[in-house]
Amino acid sequence: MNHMKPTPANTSLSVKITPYTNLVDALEYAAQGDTGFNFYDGRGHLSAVLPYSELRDEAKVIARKLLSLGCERGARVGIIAETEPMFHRFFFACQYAGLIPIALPAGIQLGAHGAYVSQVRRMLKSCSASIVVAPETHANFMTEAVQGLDLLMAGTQQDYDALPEADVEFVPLGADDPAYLQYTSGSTSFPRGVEVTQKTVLNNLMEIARYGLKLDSNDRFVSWLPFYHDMGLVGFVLVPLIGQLSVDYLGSRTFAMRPRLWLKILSDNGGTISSAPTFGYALCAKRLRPSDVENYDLSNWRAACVGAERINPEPLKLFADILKPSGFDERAFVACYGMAECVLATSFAPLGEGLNVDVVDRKLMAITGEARPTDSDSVSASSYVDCGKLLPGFEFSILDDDGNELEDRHCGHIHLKGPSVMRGYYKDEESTRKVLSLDGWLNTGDIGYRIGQHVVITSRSKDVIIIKGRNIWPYDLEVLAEKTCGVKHGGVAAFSVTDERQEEQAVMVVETREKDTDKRQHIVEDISRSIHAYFGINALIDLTPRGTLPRTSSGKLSRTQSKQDFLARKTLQGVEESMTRVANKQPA
Amino acid sequence: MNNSTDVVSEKLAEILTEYLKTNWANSPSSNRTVTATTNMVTELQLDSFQVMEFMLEVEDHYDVAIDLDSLSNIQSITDLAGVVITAHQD
Repeated sequence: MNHMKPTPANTSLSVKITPYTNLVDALEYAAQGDTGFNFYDGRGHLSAVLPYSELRDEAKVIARKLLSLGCERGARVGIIAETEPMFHRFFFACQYAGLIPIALPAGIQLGAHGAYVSQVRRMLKSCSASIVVAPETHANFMTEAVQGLDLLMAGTQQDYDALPEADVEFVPLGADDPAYLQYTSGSTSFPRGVEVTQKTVLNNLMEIARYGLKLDSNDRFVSWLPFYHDMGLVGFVLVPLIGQLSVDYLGSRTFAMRPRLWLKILSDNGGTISSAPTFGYALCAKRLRPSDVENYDLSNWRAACVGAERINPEPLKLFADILKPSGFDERAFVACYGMAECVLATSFAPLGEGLNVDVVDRKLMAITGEARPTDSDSVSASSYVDCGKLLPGFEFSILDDDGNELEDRHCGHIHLKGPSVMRGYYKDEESTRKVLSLDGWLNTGDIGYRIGQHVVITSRSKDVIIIKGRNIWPYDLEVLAEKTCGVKHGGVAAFSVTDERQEEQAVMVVETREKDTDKRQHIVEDISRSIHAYFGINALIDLTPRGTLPRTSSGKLSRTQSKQDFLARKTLQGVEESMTRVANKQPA
Repeated sequence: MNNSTDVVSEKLAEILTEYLKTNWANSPSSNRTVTATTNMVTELQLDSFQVMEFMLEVEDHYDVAIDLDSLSNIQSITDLAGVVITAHQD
C-alpha cells in the first residue's frame, strides 16, 4: 500500500519570480513553502517525494560531505542523471558547496555498453571532473568509465553518505560563477560543455517564468524529459524552482515503455505545463486506447510546449484530435525555440493560441530564400510553425551569407544577443570564438525567417542531425564510417534529409572504388551496423564513386553541397534506385 | 517455465516477429523473419523506442525485470534469452 502523497500544486507562498543572486537563493525561498518534486515509478506509482524544504536540508548535508574530500572551489562534479531524487540532491549540494555540477547521460541503448561508457568517459575528461556520482543502476558503467582518471571520488549516493561532514561555512557560487555545465552541444568525439553562469541561468528562468509561460500559483509541471537535456534540467527542475511550484516526474525509459503514463499523471494531478519534442506526442497518440481517452481529464493542461527538433504540425494535430474528448485543447500547444547556448529558451509562441502554421512556397524558397505565403493546396507548399516572439531580453538578427541584415520573410542565419547568451564553452576558446562574436552576438547555426517580431525556424543547426530529440553530429557518423574496410578517410559525408513522414533521416554518402555488388553490400551493412550500435539510429547509406563528393576550394568536404547533390540524384532516379536502405534487404 | 535457452529463444523470436508485424507494419523491419540467432542490433535496426516497447512485452510475458547492465550487453535473441532465464531464477 502506498501512503505517500505528492506535494501540493498550490503553494502557500506567494509566487516570487525575482532576479535571485544564485540558485541557492531561489531554493532557500522555495523551501519556505510545501511544494516540491514527485517521482513516479515504472507502474505509475508515486515512489519518492522531495519537497523543496527537504531538498535544501539534504543538499546541505551532501555539500558538507563533498567538501570533506578537500576539493577546490569550482571543481566539477559529474552526476549520472537518472530521474531520481539523487540528481536534485547532488545538483543543489554543488550549489551550496561552490562546486560545478554536470548532468551526464543516463540513457543506454541495446547492446551499446561500450559506446555508453566511452561517451561518459570523454565528458568527464573534457571537464576534468573531480567527483562522480551514479545511481545504483549505473554503478558498474561508472566504474568502467572512470578507470584510470584522476578523481577524488566516484561512487553511489550510499558511498557519499558514509563520508564525514566538513565543518565549513558555505560560500555558494556567485552571480558570475558557473551554475553548471551543459553537454548537449558538441559531438561525442569532442564534447563541448556550455558554461552556464548563475546570472545567465537566472535571467533566462525569470524570462521564461514571467513572459514565456506566465507562471502563477495554480501551475503544476509534469515531465519525462531526461535531466541531462537542457529542456529537462532547465524546463522541469529550475523553472519550477523559480516559481516555487510542484513537478511530477516519470523516467524517460518508463515513458518509452508506457507513454500513456505521462497523460495519466497529467490527468490525475491536474498538470498545467508539460513539454516534449514532436515525437513524444506522436508516440503517445500511437499507443492510446479508446478507453483511456474517456478516463483522462486533460482540461488543466494549458501549456503543451513543443520544441527541440523541427516542429511537425501533423502528428500534433492528430494528438489533439484523439484527446479532445479528454478535454485537451489544441490551443494549449506552444511552439518554442531555444538552445543550450542561451540556457534553454529564446522564444515562445503566444500562450493559448495553439500552433500558428505558416504555409510558404517551397520551390521559391529553395531558389531565392524568400518565404512567400501560398495556398496549402499548392503542390509546392511547405508548412513551418511560427515560434513566436523572442523573450524580451533578446535582440535578434537574420543575416545572409555576407552578414547583411535580411528583411521580413527571407531565410537567413539567425544571430542572437542578450543576457541569456552563454559566456562560452567551458575551457574551449576556439569553439567559443567560432560562434560568439566579441560584441556578444551568437551565431545559432539555425536557419529561419522573421515575420515582424516573430521567428520561424526552417532548419536547425546545419551541423547537427536531430533524431527523436537527440543531437547527432555528422562528424561522429563520418568517423565511424571511415573505420569500415574499403572506405577512405575523408570519403564520407553525413547529413540529414526530411523523409516522407516529415521526420529527419540521417544520410551518409560514401565514396568507394568497389564495383563488386556483394562487396558493396558488405560495406553498406558494415557501416549501417556500426552506426546503429553506437547511435541507435538507422542511416541511409548511399555509395558513390571515389572523388565525386563535392569539396570546397580548400579541399574541405562540403556537407551542404553533398546534400544538394544527393537530393538531385534522388529526384532524377527515384528514391529506390539511388539509395540502399539496409533494413529493406530481404533475408537470402 | 521451461528454461532451456532454445525454448526461450524460440518464444522470444515469435514475440518479436508478432510485435514487428502488429506495431510497425510500415517500418522496414516489419516483415523480417526473426530467428534465435537474429542480431537485434545489427540486423533488425530497431530504434530505441521500439527496443523499449519490445522489452516491455518481454518483461510482461515472463514477469521479469531486465536491468540496464544486461540490456547494454544484449545483441541477439539468444543473449536476450539468457538474460530472461537468469532474471527468472532470481
